[in-house]
Amino acid sequence: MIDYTPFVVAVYGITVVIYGLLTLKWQRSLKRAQQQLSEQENP
Amino acid sequence: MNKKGQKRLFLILTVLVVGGALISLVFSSFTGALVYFYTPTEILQQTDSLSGKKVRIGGMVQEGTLVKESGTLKIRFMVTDGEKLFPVQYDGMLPDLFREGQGVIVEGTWQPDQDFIASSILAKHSEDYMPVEMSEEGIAKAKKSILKSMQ
Amino acid sequence: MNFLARIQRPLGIITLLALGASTWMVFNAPLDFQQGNSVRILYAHVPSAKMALFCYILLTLSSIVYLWKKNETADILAEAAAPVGAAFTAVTLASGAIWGKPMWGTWWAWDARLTSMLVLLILYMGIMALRNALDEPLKAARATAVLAIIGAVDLPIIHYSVVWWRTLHQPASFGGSSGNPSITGDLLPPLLAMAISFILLGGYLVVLKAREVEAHRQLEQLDVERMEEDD
Repeated sequence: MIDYTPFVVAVYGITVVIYGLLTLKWQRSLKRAQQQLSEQENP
Repeated sequence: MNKKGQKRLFLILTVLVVGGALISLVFSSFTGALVYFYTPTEILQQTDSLSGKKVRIGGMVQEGTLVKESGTLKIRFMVTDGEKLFPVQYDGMLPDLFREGQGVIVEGTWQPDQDFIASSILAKHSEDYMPVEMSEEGIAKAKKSILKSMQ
Repeated sequence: MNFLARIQRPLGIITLLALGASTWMVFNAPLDFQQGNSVRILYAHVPSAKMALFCYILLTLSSIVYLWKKNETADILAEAAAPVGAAFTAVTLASGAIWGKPMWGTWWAWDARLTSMLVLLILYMGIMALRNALDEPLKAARATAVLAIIGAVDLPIIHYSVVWWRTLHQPASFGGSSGNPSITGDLLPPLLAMAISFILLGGYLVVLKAREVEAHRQLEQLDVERMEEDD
């Protein structure tokens, strides 16, 4: 049986990158929107 | 093109792609186009109508029939669905799961009354997953479900 | 929505802990009798696939509620469920291809399970693109809801594809023909742990995205109000 480690690493790499990047992107976008909201409400 | 026109074109494209994908999926579910392979029994019943056509045939590699030509990648084996046996020849790289007693799908041009020359071989995995150390007791059960999953 | 704001952080922390623990379990699971090490790929693949379907169920239910009650929260949930589901579907297809290459001998096959899963990704992308392409928010909400509900026909096709047609993809290991799970021994707990973690992850991502969508809608609302004042 050949060594499947590269395949396993590739899958978990892709998984972490996709879910991780989405989380960071949305967290940042939420924070920015909330900042703008509070600036507009209390100028 | 202005921005509005671009958006409109994008909209039409989206609807076309999604609609096309959905309609062709539903259509092929009713016509049987989604059946991925024939069984040996089926292919031997329709030898004439399928003659010269590219087909996929699935079955289990019959135990004790795998012959390797030494020094080459050439192999010969029999595929079975539990009823009919079916000779196959192949020359090329094999998937790692390929072995006797394993489900396979062979692809090639169907010529009645001669060995099937496969242009490609795919291994089919059964739904059984077992740790290595308990495989002894489980292999018999797994063999049964391999044959079942090919029918 | 206030409720979502309160649960977001604790849910995020629990999700991270659960993912950490189940990843540890995955890399300490025994080797499979046929696939060896590559069985670990399935621990990311199977829960992603389940969540891809769950997200579409949420999308369909939210769409129905929106069309029926004109409830904006339902529309926000629908808008949030689509990209989360698309991400789960993309990971399902990618991990499946990487598993398929060494095991089946091919990255891709046009069998019923793989094809219907690809259609699910096209649906998610299409629903997101449709909302993007329509400038009028109410019109966009209605159109995407209708498309989502029509697309739900793909769900039973995906689920039963391995039963209705002969496929390259293996049948379900749970509730399949044998009735009991065909994943035995120490291979099973990591899968259950990953499944729970991915449910939490899906929940967290939907909550996060829903709050982000809501905040942006509030901003747009303020813009509209200001423009009306200026007039």
